[in-house]
Amino acid sequence: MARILIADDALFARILLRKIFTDAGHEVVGEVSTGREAVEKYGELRPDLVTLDIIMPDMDGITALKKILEIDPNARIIMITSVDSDKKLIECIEAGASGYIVKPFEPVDVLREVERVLKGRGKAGQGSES
Amino acid sequence: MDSFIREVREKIDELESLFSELRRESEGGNLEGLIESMIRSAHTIKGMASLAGFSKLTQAAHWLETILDMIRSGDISVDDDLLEVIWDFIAAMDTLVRSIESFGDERGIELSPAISKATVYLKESTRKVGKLPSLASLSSKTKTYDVVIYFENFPEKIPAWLFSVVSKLQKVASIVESEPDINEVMGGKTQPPKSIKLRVETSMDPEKIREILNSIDGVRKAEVLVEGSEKRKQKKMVLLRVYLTEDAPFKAARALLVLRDIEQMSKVLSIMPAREEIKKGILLEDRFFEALIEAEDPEVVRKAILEHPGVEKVDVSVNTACTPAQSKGGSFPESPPSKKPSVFAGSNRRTVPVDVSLLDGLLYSMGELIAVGEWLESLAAGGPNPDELARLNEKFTAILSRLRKIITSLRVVDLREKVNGFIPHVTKLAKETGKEVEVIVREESVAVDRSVAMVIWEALVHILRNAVVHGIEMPRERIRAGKPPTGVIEIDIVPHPDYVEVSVRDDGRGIDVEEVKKRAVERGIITPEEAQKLSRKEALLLIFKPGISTAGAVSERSGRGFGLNVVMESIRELHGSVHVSSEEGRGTVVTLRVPADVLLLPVYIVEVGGKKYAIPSLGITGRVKLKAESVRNVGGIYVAAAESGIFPAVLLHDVVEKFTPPPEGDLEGLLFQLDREGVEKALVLADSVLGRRDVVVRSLRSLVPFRDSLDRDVFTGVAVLGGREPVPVIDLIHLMEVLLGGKG
Repeated sequence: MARILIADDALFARILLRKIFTDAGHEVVGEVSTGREAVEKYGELRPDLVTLDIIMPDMDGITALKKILEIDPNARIIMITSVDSDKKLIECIEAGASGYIVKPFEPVDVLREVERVLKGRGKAGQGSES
Repeated sequence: MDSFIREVREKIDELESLFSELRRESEGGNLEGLIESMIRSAHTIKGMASLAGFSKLTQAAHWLETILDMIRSGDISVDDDLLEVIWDFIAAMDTLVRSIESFGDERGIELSPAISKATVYLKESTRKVGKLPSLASLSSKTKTYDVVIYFENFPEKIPAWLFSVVSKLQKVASIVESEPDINEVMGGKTQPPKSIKLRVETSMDPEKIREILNSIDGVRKAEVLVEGSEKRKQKKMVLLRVYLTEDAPFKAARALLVLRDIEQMSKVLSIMPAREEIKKGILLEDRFFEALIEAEDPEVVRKAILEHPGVEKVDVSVNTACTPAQSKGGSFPESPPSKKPSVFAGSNRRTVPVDVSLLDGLLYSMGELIAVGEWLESLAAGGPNPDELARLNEKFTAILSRLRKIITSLRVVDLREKVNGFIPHVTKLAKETGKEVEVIVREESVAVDRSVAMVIWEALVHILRNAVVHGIEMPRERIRAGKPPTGVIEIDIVPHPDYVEVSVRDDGRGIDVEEVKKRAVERGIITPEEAQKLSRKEALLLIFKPGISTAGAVSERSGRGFGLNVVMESIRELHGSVHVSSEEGRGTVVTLRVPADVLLLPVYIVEVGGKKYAIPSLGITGRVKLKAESVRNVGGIYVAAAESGIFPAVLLHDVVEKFTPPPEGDLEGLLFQLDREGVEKALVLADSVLGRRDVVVRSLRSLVPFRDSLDRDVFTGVAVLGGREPVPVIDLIHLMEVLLGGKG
C-alpha cells in the first residue's frame, strides 16, 4: 500500500501503470508527463515511490532523477525504460536510481520490482539485517 | 620370521640391561647417554614391529619411546614410579615377543594395564589433568584459550602422542577441559580421534603455545583460539554466483542493481567480471557474474538478491577451503549449499602471485612480436618473398610457443593442495552416513591449468561422494566380509607428459553390475537384449548414463543417481577420458585422464571423404595402414587385422560420411586403447592420417554450425587450423560407444 507518482510522456503508459498499481492495492497520487513536473510534484507530494520515464520532453529522466535526489537523497525512483535506452539506464543507476522496469510492461515484473524497492534498503548505510 | 624374532629379542635384551643401569644410576649424572641408547633400541623395535604388522608391539615400543623422549627433553624426571612404568612396557614387549614366538601372534596380551599406569603417573606427577579446577585461574594474568590439536594419521600412535602433548602443555598451562576426554584417549578406551580440543588457562602468549605444540612429534597442526570467538559472529567468506534470466533485457543494469544491494549488505572483496565490464554488458557465459564477499549471514544476502526480477537463481558457496559441491540441479537446499567451483576456487582474491621472471618473459615476447609485426609490414609493402615468409613464420611460431608456455604457467594451480582439502569433508560425510573412512592421497605435486583443476575437482567430488555413499559399506558389514571396519579410499594423482591421471580407488563393495544393468533396462536406456550382450566392462560404463541410480531413494546426500554423467560430460569437454573397473566385494577404481594443457591439444589430423578431422592423441598407441578389403564385418562389428592382432574397428567413413560410397584401396588409421592398462585396443580407420599437431580447440558453440548434419555427440569441439580452417574434433569415447552398441 504505497503512494506512487507516475511520470511518463505517453498517455497509454500512464494508464497501464495506474491500472497495475491500483489493482495491486497501491495509491497513485499523481501523474505527470514531463521531467520538470515530476520534480515539482515530488517536492509537493513526497510519494513513497516515483516511476520515471527515461525519455521525456522538458527535462529528461536522468536530469529529473538527479534533481529529485537533491530534494530527497532517500527517494525511491524506478526508471521506466524501453529496449534502446540501455546506456542511459546504466547512467541512471549509477546516478542513484533504485530500480527499473521495462516497456512493454509485464505486470508481474513491475510489481516485483516495486515491492523490492519499497522494501528497500535506502541508499546509504547497512542492510536491515547485518 | 625367525630373524625378526631374533633381532627384536636382541633389542629387548639391550633395553633390559640398559634399564638395569638406569635403575642404578637414576640419581647420578650420566643419564643422557643411557636414555639415548634406550630410545634408539625402542625406536628400532618400533620400526621392525610396524613393518612386520604387530600393532601391539609397535604401540608398546612407541609408548616407551615417547616416555623416554620426554625424559630426555626434561618434561618429566626419573623417579621410582616412572621406572616402574618403563619396566612395565619393557615387560609387555617381552611377553609380546614370546607370544609371537610361540603362537605367531599377539593375542591375549593386554597393553592397557601398562598404559593406564603411565597415565596415572602423569596425573599424579602433575595433578592437573582432568576436570579439577585449577589454581591458575585465580591469577588475573591468565587467559583462557581453546586449543585444537590435529594429529598425524597414525591412530595407534595417537594415545602416546597425546601423552606427550599433555605433559608439555602442562608445564605452561593448566588444562581445564578436553574433548574427547584425555584419559579415555590415552587409556586406549576409545577409538583415537584425529583431533582433540582442549580448553586451557595460561598466562603465556598464545603464539608461543602454538609454537610449542606444533613442534611436538606427531602433531600435524595445532591451533590456539581465543575463547568466545563463536563461529556465528565470524564473518564468512562467501562466493555468490548470480544468474540472470536468459531473456532479460538490460542484464547489465540488473547486475549493477544487484551488486549495489550486495555491497550494502556485505563487504565485497572482488567481483568477476570487473564492474567496468559488467557496465558494458559483459557477463560470464553471458548470464552470470560472481562476487566474493564477507558476510555474517549469506542467506539474507541471497534472499535479497532473489527479490530482483530478472534474477534466475543465486548460488552460494561458503568458502571453507574447498567445500565440495553438491549439485542439486538448481533447487535450493536447506543446509549451506555449494555449487560449481568458480574461477575463484583456490584463491581468495582476483590476483594470483606471479613470478617476476615470468612477467619479464612475457614482456620480452611481446617485444619480439612487435618486431615481427614490423617485419611483416615491410614485407607486405615489398611483395611476398617465400624465403623470408618462411623464416618469419618460424620466428612467429617460436614466439607463440614461448608465450603459450608463460601464460599457461600463470594460470597454474597445484592439484595436491586442492585434493587434500577434500579429506575432512569426505570423512565428515562418512561419519554422517554411519561409516568410517580413511582417505589416503598419494601424489606428486602436479600443476595444472585452473580450468583443468576445476574440472578434476568437480569430478572428484562426485566420485568421492559415490565411493562413500555407495561404495564403502557400514562397519558391521565390512567386518562380516572380513575387511577392517574402516574403509579406505585412495586417491592417486600421476602426472604424465601430455596428461594428468587421477584415480580413486575404494575397498568397498564394488559395483553390482547386474543391478546397474537392471536399472538401465528399467530406465529405458538399453533394451533387455542389449543388456544380455553387454560385457562387464561395457556394463560398468553404464553408470555414466544420466538417470542411473542404485540408491533406493534419492537422498539429500547422494542426489540423483550417481551424478557421474556430469563428470563424464565435463571430462569429455576437456578431451579427457574416464575408466571404471570394479570387483564385487573388493572395490572400485575410477580413473580420469585429462590433458594437462588446455590451450593446445595434441591431435592426429585424419582425412575422410576429402574433409579433415582431428582425433585427440590421448590413448592413441600407434598408426596403421591396411587395405579396405581386409576389414571384415563380423556380426555387425567391423574387425581388422593390424600389428599382428585383430581388433574391432570404427570406420570413420560410416560415422561422418554415411552417404558417400565407402573407400576402396588403402586405409590408414590409428590404434587406440580402450582401458587403463592398454590391454584392450580398437582401431579407428580413415582415408588417411595426415599427421600429429597441437591445435587450439574451441567449443562447438563458439562457431556457428557449419554443417547441418553435425551430430553433436560425435564431435566435442572444433580445432582451428591455420587460423582459418575449422576441423571438428572427434570424441573417441563416443566412438567407443559406437563400437559397443552400434549406435552410429
